[in-house]
Amino acid sequence: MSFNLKLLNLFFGMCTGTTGLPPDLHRLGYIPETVETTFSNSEDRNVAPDLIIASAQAHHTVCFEWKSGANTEADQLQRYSRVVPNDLVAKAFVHVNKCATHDIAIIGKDEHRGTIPIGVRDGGYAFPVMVTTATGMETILNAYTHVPTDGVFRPLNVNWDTVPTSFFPLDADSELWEFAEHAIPHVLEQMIKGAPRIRMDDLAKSMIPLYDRMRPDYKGQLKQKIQQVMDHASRAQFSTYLQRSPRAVAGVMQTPTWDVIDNPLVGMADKRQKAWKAMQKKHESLINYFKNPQRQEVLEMDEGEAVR
Amino acid sequence: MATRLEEVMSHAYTELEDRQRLEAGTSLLKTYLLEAHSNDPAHQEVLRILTTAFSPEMLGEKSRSRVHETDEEFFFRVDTQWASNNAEFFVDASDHRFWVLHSASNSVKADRILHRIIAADNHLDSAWLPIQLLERIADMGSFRGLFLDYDRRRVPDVEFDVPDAPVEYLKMQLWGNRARQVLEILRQPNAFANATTLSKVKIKHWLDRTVDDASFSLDEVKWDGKITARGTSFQSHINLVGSIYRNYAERVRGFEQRFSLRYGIEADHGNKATMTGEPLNITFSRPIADLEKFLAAVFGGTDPFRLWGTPVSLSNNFYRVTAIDMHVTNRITFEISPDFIRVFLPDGSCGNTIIRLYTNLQHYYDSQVVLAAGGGEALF
Repeated sequence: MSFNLKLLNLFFGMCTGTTGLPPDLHRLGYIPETVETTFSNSEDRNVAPDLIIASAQAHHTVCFEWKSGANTEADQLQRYSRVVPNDLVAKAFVHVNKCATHDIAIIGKDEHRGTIPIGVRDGGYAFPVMVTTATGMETILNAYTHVPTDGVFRPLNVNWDTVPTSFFPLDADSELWEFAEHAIPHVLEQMIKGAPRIRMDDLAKSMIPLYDRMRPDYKGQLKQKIQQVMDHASRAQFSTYLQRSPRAVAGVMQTPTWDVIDNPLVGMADKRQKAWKAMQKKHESLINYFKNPQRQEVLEMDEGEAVR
Repeated sequence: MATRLEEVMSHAYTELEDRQRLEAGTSLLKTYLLEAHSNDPAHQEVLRILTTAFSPEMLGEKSRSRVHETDEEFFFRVDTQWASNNAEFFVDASDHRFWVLHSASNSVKADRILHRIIAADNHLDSAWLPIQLLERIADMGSFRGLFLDYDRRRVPDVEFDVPDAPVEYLKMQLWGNRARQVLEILRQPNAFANATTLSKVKIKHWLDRTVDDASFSLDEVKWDGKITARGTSFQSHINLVGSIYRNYAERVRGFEQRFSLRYGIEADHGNKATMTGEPLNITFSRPIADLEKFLAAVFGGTDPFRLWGTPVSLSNNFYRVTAIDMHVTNRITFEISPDFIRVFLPDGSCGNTIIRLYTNLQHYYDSQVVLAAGGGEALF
C-alpha cells in the first residue's frame, strides 16, 4: 500500500474511532473533512492538502500534507503559510466552529527525518513536522497549536501491520493482486443481478471511492490495471463465465467491456450453491496468480489471439 | 385471517391447559419475522418476490406452491408443498421490508420450508435477535422461562478433545421465575460466561392487563425470529410481535444510516470530497485461536453466516475479505485480526447483515462478543 493510501486510511480510522487504533483523535472530536481538495489561500494561490481533519469540540482544524520524498517544496510551504481561518471557512467549507485555530502538518518517512524538516525550519514556519516510524509516528519539529492534539503525536503508537485499508482500498500504486481481490466481488455482484456484461467504467466507479473526481490521466492508470486483471480473468480462471467483448475490442463500445457468457449465479438454488464454491477457488487462484512475481503474462493481439 | 389464527391459538392453549399435550394434528400458532429486500414497495412487487421465493427454482423441483392475494392490499396466503412437507402461510407485508408470516401448520414442516426458501432466495432473510434484544423482550411481559443454545462446533477453530478446551456446546431449558437466577450464575466469569447464549424467552403478554386480565398470549420468542404463541388473545400476540419488530427495524435502519460509508463530492462547495459513516467493530472475550479456520467457517457462503469471500492475508495474522452477503448479494468488506473484526458497509448495504453476523457469533463462537461503534460504544 502506498504511503499516501496508508496515511489516508490511518487518519480515517483514527478519526472514526476504529478498533485497533489509538482513540485520541476520535475522543477529541476530529472528523475527516475532505480529501485532496484544492482551495486558495489569502493571497489567492492554491493549496491542496492531502487531508483536512477538524473538530468542533477542539475548534481546531489540521491540514495534512504528506511527503513520500526526501524534501518539501519552498513554494508550497509558503502558500500553506498564507492560509488563514477565513480561507478554511469560505473556500475549503470547514464549519466556522471548527477552525478558531488551525495547523498545517507535514508528515514524511522515517528515512527522510534529516531532510524533511529543513524547508520548514529554514522558512521559519511553525508547521509541526512528523515522520512515520516502525512503531507509529513522532513529531520531530515544532508543535501543534492545540495542546491536546499535539499530545496525540508524542508519540503516536500504531501497529502498521493492522492499519485499516478499506476506507480507500486502491490507488494507482496498488498491486495487481489487490485489483484482482476487489474486482471479482464487484463482477459477481453484477452477475447475481443478471447483468449481461461488465463495463470497465462501472467497475472502476464501484471499486474506487471518489473515482469521478480523479484526473483523466490518473483514471487511465487505474483503468489500465483493472483491464489487465479482467483480461487475464476472462482468459484464464473465469473464462467459462466472462469474455472480453469483441465489440469493445473493435472499438464499437466506449469502454472496455466483458460479456457474461455463462451465469451460474442465477437459476436453481442447488446449482448456485455449487457455483459459489467454485467461484471462491477461482478468485483465490486469480489473486495468487498476480501475487506470483514469476507469473507468465499473456498478451492479447489485436485480432484477439493470445500469445505467451 | 385474524379470527382463524385466534382460534388456533386459543384451541392449542385449552388443549395444553386441559391435557398437557396437543391432540394429533393440532399445532401452535407460529409467527416468523422475515426481512425482504426490494427497491419497489408496490403490492405487485411483494407478490412477485413471494411467488419467486416459493417457486420450484428456490424450493426445488419437487415443490408446488400457490400464492393467493386477499381482499387486503399487502396481505397474502401461500399454500406450499415441498417433498413430504406442506404448510400454509399468511403473509402480512404491510411494511414492505419487514414482513410477518403466520402459520398454523405443523411446526417442523413449516420451519423446513421457510429455512429452505431463506437459504435459496436472495431477497429474504430471517430477523436475528441477539441476546440483548431477547432480554429486552423478556421484559415485555411476565417472564416464564428461557432456552440457552451455544454450539462452537460450527466454527471449529480449536481442538475439543484436549485439556482446557473451551466449551463445545451448551444447551439448556429453564422454566419458571428462577430461570434468570440460573442464567446469572452461568454468566459468572468462573462459570461459562462465553458459552451462555440466550436463544429463546417465554413470556406471558397482555394487551392491557389493567383492563382485561383474561386476554393474553403465551409467547416463545426465538433468536431466529420465530415466535410460537398460544393463549386467549391473538391481539395480544400481534401487539407483542409489533413491539419486537419495531425495535428490530429501528436497529436495522439505524445501522444503515449511521455506518454505511458514503463518499461524495459537494459540487456547491468547491467540489469538496467527503466521506460519512464509520466502520463497525467486533471484539471477542478471547482472541480467535486459528484465524484461517475461523475465516473458512464464516466466509464459506453457507448457513448460518451466509457470507461469501476470499480471505487475503495482508500481514501476519491480519486478513481482508471483500465479501458478498448472500442475503442481499451486496458487497461488504471485513478486516480481521485475532483480536477484532472491522466491518465496512458500502452505501446501500443491509443492516440485517451486521445483526445476523453478530447474533450468529454469539451462538457459534463467543457469547460475549461485542459489537461497537467508533470509540467502543456498544451497540447492543
